[in-house]
Formats: sequence, C-alpha cells, structure tokens
Amino acid sequence: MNFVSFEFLGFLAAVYVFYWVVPQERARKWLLTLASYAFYAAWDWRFCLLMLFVTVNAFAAGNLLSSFQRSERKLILAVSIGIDLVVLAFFKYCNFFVANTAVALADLGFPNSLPTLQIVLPVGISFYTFHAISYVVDIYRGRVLPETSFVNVALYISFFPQLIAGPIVRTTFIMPQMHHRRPFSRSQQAMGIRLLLRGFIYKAVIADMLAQVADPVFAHLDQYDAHALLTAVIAFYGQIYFDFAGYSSMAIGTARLFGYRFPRNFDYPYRSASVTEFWRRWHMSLSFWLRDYVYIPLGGNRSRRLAVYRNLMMTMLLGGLWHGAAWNYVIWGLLHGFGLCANKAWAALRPCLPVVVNWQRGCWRALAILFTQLWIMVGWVFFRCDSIAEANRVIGSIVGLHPHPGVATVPLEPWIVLLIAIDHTLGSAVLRCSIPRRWAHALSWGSLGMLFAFGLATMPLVQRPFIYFQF
Amino acid sequence: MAKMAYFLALSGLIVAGCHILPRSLPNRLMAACLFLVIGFIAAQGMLSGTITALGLAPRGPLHELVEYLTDYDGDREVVLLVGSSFTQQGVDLDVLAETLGKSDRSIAVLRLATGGLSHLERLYYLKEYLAGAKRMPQLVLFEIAGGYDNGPLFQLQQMRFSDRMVAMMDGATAWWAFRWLLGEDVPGSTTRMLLAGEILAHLGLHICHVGFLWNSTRADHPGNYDPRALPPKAQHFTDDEVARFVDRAARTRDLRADWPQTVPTNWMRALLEAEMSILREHGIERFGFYSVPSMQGDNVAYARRFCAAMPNFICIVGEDPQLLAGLQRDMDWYDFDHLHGEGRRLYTRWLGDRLLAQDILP
Repeated sequence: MNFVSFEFLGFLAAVYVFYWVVPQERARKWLLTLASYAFYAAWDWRFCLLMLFVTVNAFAAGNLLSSFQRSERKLILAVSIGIDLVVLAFFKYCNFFVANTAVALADLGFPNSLPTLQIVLPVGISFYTFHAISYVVDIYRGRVLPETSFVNVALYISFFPQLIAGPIVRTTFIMPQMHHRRPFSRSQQAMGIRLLLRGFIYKAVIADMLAQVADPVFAHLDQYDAHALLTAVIAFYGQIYFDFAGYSSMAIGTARLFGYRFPRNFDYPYRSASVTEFWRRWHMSLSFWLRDYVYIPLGGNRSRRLAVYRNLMMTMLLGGLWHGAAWNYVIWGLLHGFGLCANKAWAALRPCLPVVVNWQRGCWRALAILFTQLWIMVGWVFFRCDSIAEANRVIGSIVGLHPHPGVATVPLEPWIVLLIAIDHTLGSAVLRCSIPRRWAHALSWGSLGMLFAFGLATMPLVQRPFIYFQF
Repeated sequence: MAKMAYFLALSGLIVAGCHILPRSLPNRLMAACLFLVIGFIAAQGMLSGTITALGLAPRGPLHELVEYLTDYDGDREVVLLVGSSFTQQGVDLDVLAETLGKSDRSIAVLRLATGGLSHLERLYYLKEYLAGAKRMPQLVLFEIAGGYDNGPLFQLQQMRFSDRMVAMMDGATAWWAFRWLLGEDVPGSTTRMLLAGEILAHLGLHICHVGFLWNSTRADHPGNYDPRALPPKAQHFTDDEVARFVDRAARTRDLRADWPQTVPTNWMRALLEAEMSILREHGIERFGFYSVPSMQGDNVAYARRFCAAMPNFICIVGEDPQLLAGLQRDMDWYDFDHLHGEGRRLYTRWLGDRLLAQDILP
C-alpha cells in the first residue's frame, strides 16, 4: 500500500477514527497492531506469519533474558539474533550467496549449476528484523525492561508507519511512549498534518518529477551522451533524497496522528561537509543503529587507528549489504566507508596543519561541501545502476574516459540544484514569515490548504513506489 | 524538458512555501479545518483561472483527434462517424468519402473514434468537438458495439487513474456513470460500491486538477494526429480459420451471457437520446447506426437486435452474406474484431453503398 494512494488514505482515515473513538489504551494498541498486520497483508498476507514469528522470537527472548544469569543471557541473545539474521539472510541473501558461490567455483575450474531458490523478498524485512534485534539487545544491555505485554512488542515491530521503510525506531525511544496513554493533542495533530503534507510534496511532486528525468536515462544508458548522464545522476541525487525524506516525513507525521513521536530521519544531508556529517544527517535512524549495534560492538573509536578504519569499513560494508544483495551496494557501502576513514584521518591531521587550513572558515567549508557531495553522488551512481559495470560506464562517460555519442537532453542541473538548495537553505534556517497575530491562524491553515492544492496540480498522476520499499 | 524546468521552479516555490509560511497551533480545530478548506478552494480557483487564461487542455491522443476534427473547415459536407477502434480500424475515410461522392455530392468523412473510446468518454469529447467545430456535420453515424454499450465503465477500470480517464471525468460524465451504476444492469452491490468509489475518486482528481499541469498542453498547440495511421497487423489466422469464424459469427443468435437481454439498455437509449439532443442543439438532424463486421458472434447478434429495436433510424449491420464472402482471408482481419487492409476497404465501400441506398445524406 503506497502512502500516496487512495487505498492508504481510506485505510488511514478508518484506523484514525476507530483509534481515537476507542477509550482503552490497551484496546487502541491492539487496534493499531491489527491494522498494521492488515496493512502488511495488503502486500502479501503469508508474510504476516513471518513477521509474527520474528515478533514472538523477540518477545520470548526478552522475557527469557530477564530470567537467566549472565552466561545463559549471552546464549539467549545469540540465539535470538541468530534467528533474526537467518530469516533475513534466507530471504534477502540466499540467492546472492548461491549465485556468487557458483561463479567462484566456476572461476576455480569447477563448472556447476547450483540451483537458485524462487524466493520473494518480503517487503520491510530489513526494517522489522532490525527492530526485533534492537529490542533484544537493549534488554540485554539493560537499557529497557522486557515487556510483559505482547501487544507492545508486536506494535513496536509492526507499527505500519515505519513497517515498510523505517525510520528504525529504538526501543529506548518508543517503549516509554507505549507505557503511557497517548493523549489527543491538537499540536501533535497539527504537526502530523504538516509532516504528512511536506512528505507528500517531497515524494509525489518532486521525487516523482525527478524520476521522469532520471529513469529513462538509467533504463537505456547506451543511448544517452555524457551530459544527459550527468543530468540523470544529479536528478537521481535529488530524487532519492526527496523520495526517502518524503517517506520518512509521512511516516513520522502518520505516527504523530496516533500520538506517537518518531525520531527525525533526515536533517538536510546535502549540506554536509564530510561523509561523517552526511551520515549524521542522512537516514539517521539507520546510521545510529549501525553505530550502536555494529560499530561500537566491533570496538568503535576506542581501538588503534587502523582498527578504527577497519571497523568503519566493516560497518559500512554491512550497511551497503543491508540495502541490497548485490555487489553495487557493497561498492556503495565501501565508498562511504572510505569517506568516513578519510574524514577520520583528516581530523587527526588537521591540528598539525597551518592555521590557514581552518575547517570552519566559509571558503573551506564550501569546498568541503562540494567535494563531499561529489563523493556522495558517485556513491549514488553505484546505488542506482544495476551493476558495477554500468556504474563504471556512467562515471567513465561523465568524466570523459569513455566518450560516446548519444541523445542529448535539456540541461536541468541548475534547476535541480536550485531546488535542493531552496529546500536545504530555507528548511534548516528556520525562517518564518512574521505576520500579525490576529491573521496568523487563518494564514497558517489557509496556506496549508493552498500548498496541498498546488501540490496536487503539480504532481504527475502516475506515482512510483518509494525507492526504499525494495529494501 | 523545458516544461520540466518550469515544474522544477514551481516545485521550488511550493517547497519554499512549505518551509517559510507561518505556523500556528490549531486553537480552534473547526476554524483550522475551515481555513484549510478555504485555502484549498481558493488555490483551486486560482488554478482554474490560470488554466483558462493559458488555454490549457488535457494532452494526449484524444486532444489531438478533437483538434484535428474541429480544424476541418472545407467546403464539403461533413459526415461524422462516432465509435471506437472498430471504426478506427474498420472504416477507410477516403474510400467512404469517395463512395458517398458517387451521389454527386462532395463529402468529407471525419471520425471521432479511437481505441477504447467508451461511451462516457465519447460524450465528453463529442461536446468538446461541437464546442469548437468550424464546420458542423450534416450526418452523424454511431457505431454499434455490444461491449461498449453494455460496459461503459470497463475502460475506467482498465485505465484506472490514467490521465485519460481523469480528464474525461467531469460532473456530467460522473452523472452518466452513476446513472448506469444505479440501473438494473450492474451485477452486485459490492461491484456498485467499488465502481462508485472509483467514479468519485476520478471525479475528485478531475475537479482538483490532480496531475493536470503535467498532462496538459495549450489548446491551440499544433497536434500531429494522422487519421490514416494504423498499427501493423499482429494477429494471424489461416484463411480456413477466418472462413470458419466468420461463418460461426453469422450464425450466432445469442448475446454474451453477462450482457443484459434488453437491447439497447435503458441507459444506452437515454445516452443516445442525450447525444442526439446535444447534436440537434447544434443544428444536426440526421443520425444513423452501423456495425462493423466481427468474427465474434456476440457482437453480430447484438448489432442485429440493436437495429431491430431502432426502427426509426437507419441502422446497418455488417453481416451481408456477399460482404462476408469477401472477408474470408487472414489479410482482411487485424484480429477477431477489427478489419484490415482490403477487408477494410471492402466493408467501407459496402457501407457507403448502403448509406446511399438508404438515402440518408442530406
């Protein structure tokens, strides 16, 4: 069920009305849980059982962890996480592993025909398994207490706004909210509506518009010249931001309508002056999850320098693989890992350099932003292309290594960059029109209605699914 | 792509509005909702004004077709064929004009017909055509097609939420759609409710101009409609198969099981009356009906019953044995329902002769 569809609108309206009509908090949670399962079943009901299995595993492990001593606790943790990872690996990585094993064996002189499985990748599996892992690990670490109520865990893992593509909400963040009655707050509702509208404009209007520039070119790379490829890369650079930030905004806004707060997932990432800063602003819930559950357990920053670099590379390698079982995602992850290492090395080197190389000075920061964004863009090429060879061809053409004639397109880069700049500048500067108080109410809500109307007229009628739904 | 630049700029303004417009808490919930609705309606008004001022129309094959039809400004008398792909594929305009010209009159044949043109869509574009036609037709001939007559919402479901379906679903179209839905020919209340939801959704999208800016063009923008352009033949039969299918179709007497047994339905009769009434308002008084030969017996049986039920009109069913004897080869058929090549020309000449024989021309 796409968030930008009549089906979702009807579903949301029905759940919203029932939710606030029901007086008991426990009944509300059951209602939300059942609604979330219905939401998931709209895609494929069979995989509701898989999600239920993951939930039962997390709930049981959480309760067992509180009943056993230290050594057994480790075993319980390992078994629970192992089950989640096996589920994830089977559905997401099985065929990737089999195909690559076959290639490796063939390269070693053992021709074979290993059978691949006809497996459907369950939508949102990467997200709900991470939620389950987060729950068990946080109990093990003593950050939250195990839930005695199954519905709390079930709702945490399946809550429909974040079920398909996050944000990955931490137990420490959401569980305290579940323990208290969610009040109907007008400010929460207003914020929810605003976030939904912003997400709608990001996704339905802008991302889908940019997709019309990028998709035809990426579908027929051979037919376009270097300039058209550059336009498509920049369009995708904008598309993936507006698509995913739009989805996140709608997810957070939807949760707010039910009285729940979700953490922020995007903080204008294209203003980042380093890859490190980028990951503090882009898909923040994933990057913080990877930091807390992968990077720090590997040793984090408290290791020798080379070990820190190794930890960064391994974390980002896993981050890349998490996005998809393909080598281009691995390269994407490694590129970001390399960027993080370079930033760490630069941070260590900087104090030794003359004062003129001051990172905070405007000129240097602008250069750093430019360089970082170019790096991010190269990463997106690997992310978008179907294979490493295709990505190499795109980059090679753009930088002039493999020039080839092809169809040219109208240069749209300045417009796309301007659009991103408007969003990042005005969005992060917290600029607001100041108007007389007596008009504020009418203008505030009237303008919201107007924006919605203009958004509807500007959006393409044919909507594409959210990019992150495939992960 | 230049249009894309405008859209990107417009999106920039919307995003800027999103970020800098004032925010206030909804102290009074009802008032906030009211202002929200007022803002929405005001913006819709502005959009409607802009669309009218710029002279924008829904883009696509039907816009180009209507523009081609309205642009005709010759001296010849106009005969308008109104139908679907059966007519588009089955009638050669030049051959029909030439055949009708045997009556010493100079005739131009125009065709408001394209693939999947449902009755609802055809009514919408018929009005568009009449509103802008430089020369009104003297004779209007309606195609008989059982599938279209009995399932006016089939295309709506088939091309759900497409630019084309949203473009045609104005208030009048929705009214006709609901009128069919409330009639006796729709199976089951669940189907009715689902279809009602779809009609309302399309109407909502149409009224709110959803996606309109993308799917619009200046009404006076030159189109490139080619009335002679047809798809190449894709389906092949043996000549024996064709002979067998044609013979079987001619012998079929029963309608398709899911079609109403009343031919035409009350809804169809009312729609035809409405179409003729609109045409009369524009001074057009002569009407007729025709069916294109088909290898599907249901269509032939339907056309036969339709003509029997319309004694006050000239009604021609494409089932003459002599005609069918000439349509026995694979190369005469595009597929089961559509003519092709020489078969098309043969039928068109036959239709022209029948029209002349009936003395329907003014």
